[in-house]
Amino acid sequence: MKTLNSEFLVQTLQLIFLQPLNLLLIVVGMLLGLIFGALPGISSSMGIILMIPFTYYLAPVPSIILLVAVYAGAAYGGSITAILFNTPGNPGAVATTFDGYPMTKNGKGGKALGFAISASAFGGIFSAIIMLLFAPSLSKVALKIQSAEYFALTLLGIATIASIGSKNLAKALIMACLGIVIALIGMDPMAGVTRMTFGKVELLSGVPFIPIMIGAFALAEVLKQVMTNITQMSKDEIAQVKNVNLETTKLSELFSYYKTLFKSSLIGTLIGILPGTGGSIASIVSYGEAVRSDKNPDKFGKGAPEGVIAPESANNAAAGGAMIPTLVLGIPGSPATTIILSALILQGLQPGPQLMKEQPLMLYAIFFSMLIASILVFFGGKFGVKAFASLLKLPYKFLAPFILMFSILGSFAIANNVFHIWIMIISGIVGYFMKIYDFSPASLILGLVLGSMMEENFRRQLLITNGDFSSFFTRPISLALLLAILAILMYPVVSKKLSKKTAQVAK
Amino acid sequence: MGEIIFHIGIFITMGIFYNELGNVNVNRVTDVVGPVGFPKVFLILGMILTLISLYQTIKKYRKQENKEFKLNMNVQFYGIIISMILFTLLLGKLGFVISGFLLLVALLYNLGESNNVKVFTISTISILVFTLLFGRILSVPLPRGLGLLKEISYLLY
Repeated sequence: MKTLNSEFLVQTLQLIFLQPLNLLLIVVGMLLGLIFGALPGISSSMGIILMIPFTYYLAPVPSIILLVAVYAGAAYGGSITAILFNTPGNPGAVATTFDGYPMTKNGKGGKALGFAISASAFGGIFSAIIMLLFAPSLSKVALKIQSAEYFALTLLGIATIASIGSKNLAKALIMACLGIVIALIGMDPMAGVTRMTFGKVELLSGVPFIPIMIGAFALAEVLKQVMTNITQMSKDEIAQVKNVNLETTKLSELFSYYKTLFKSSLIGTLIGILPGTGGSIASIVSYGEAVRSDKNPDKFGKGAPEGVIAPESANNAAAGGAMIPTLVLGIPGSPATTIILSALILQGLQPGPQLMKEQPLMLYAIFFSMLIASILVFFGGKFGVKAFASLLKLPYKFLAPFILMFSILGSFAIANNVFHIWIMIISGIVGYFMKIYDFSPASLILGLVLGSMMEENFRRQLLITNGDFSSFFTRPISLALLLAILAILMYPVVSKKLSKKTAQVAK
Repeated sequence: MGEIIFHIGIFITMGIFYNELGNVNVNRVTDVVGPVGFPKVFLILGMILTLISLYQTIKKYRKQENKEFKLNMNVQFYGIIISMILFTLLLGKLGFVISGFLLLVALLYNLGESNNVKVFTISTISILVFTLLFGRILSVPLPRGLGLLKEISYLLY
């Protein structure tokens, strides 16, 4: 099967390397991502959101390059605090604390950071190559997918993020339903009538999801931080960072752990492809696999380099893997890719199989910017640690006003409309309560982004088949996807019952 | 208790949406589902799930020994929300520069900075950077305010 088009490949390389702005955006985006990922309280999703206002004024390719570079950098950034302070900067770096922090305590913090940087870069490069090789073929297959399958796919995306990516299935599904309903506010494209607008002219064209996203992720997070009183690092901890000297890992040293490296990168890419999973699950699974398959599992938790390499390579590989369903099918794999998907839509592009056909250059540019950003992690990582030491001095009371100002400008600038700031504020307040009561904001956003697509495909399928509802079950791929949804939704219930049974047997 | 109230809030919101669907003109329906069918299904599903989750939450609440009602909000929380609401209300009248400056001052005081020099220096420099970056470089038509403030704003962006 033909996978790579050399003509487009050359054009993409020219687009990136001959246009200094694009290259600059990759470097800046990667460094910003690194900082966002490292600072506890700023997730990669929030980092990408803070960059969205700038994309309104960039052409589609540079704007997506910027967001993708932030995304790639943030996947590594979380490991810095995980290794140095036992505080993961993002959920994907939780597993890195298991061996990274013991390495710091053993005086090998610099070594651990070196391994983290190299493994992150390797994981990122690995998944970017997988994307380059397989996304074109996958999009050809995806082109054969019709309305019934699309409907099932959107449903699968929401079901997975609700089932696996959240703490409470029922609450996540409630949020997904609400997200879908909000997405349907405005003009019905098929019948040409207005729905749920309450007579408001502002709602005729629907509810914009970017201000909701900014509110639910950025403002809600700031509110949560001021409630939990996250304080800045202590002076001792800052001194600890300053004393750490990053040790560059030689390639030969890194590849002496080649089994862990390749296995974890593959696990990360595959898990990343699944909707709703992402870096945190990938890193935990690959860490578990590294422990399970090692001849000496007792060394883990005490500062084993494999304990840093496995989660870091998987975490970064998952970031690349999650881009595959986002671009090829238009179904995002994580909250961060949901935001990137929204940015693509904002630029007038429709992610999905047609994107590969109509905008191949854009797709290759995304893959290459991830690849270059991952390579730059090798160099930028070192700078990131140094810059991070000075950034740690910045208390949250100074950081929060900047986040809020960016949130305001990001909401306003989308259509130069003050009404969008109100939507952002309301979403922020509701988003805060969603967070503290375990209602999943990610499910709401995914419902919001996929709602219209879901309805459109569902109704189109019924139009084609003269209202035959059974057509969703008679098409093999659609049926398989619907069965997968059922299995995914049943998973938390079954696993809970099984663990109860196991506990009873153990007693 | 807060969680119970939140559940009820969601249920009422969904109910309002459901009720609003009754006002949709369904005479021009072109397909089996129509413009209200799809949102109705998800609203009903959402309301059923909310009731199930509410029942579980009430059960959990009854088992709790400490039934003290806490809203999980502190002064800083209210401060942020009120500052942002006031900013949005004043934006059209005072323009971005003045209202943004006031917002930053309010936020910095609210989040615990007591040094007046720091508060005013950071707010002034930040608002100028934001204005020049978004208003001039990115050409965002930031609100200019009314009267004299509008005229002055043209000097900046």
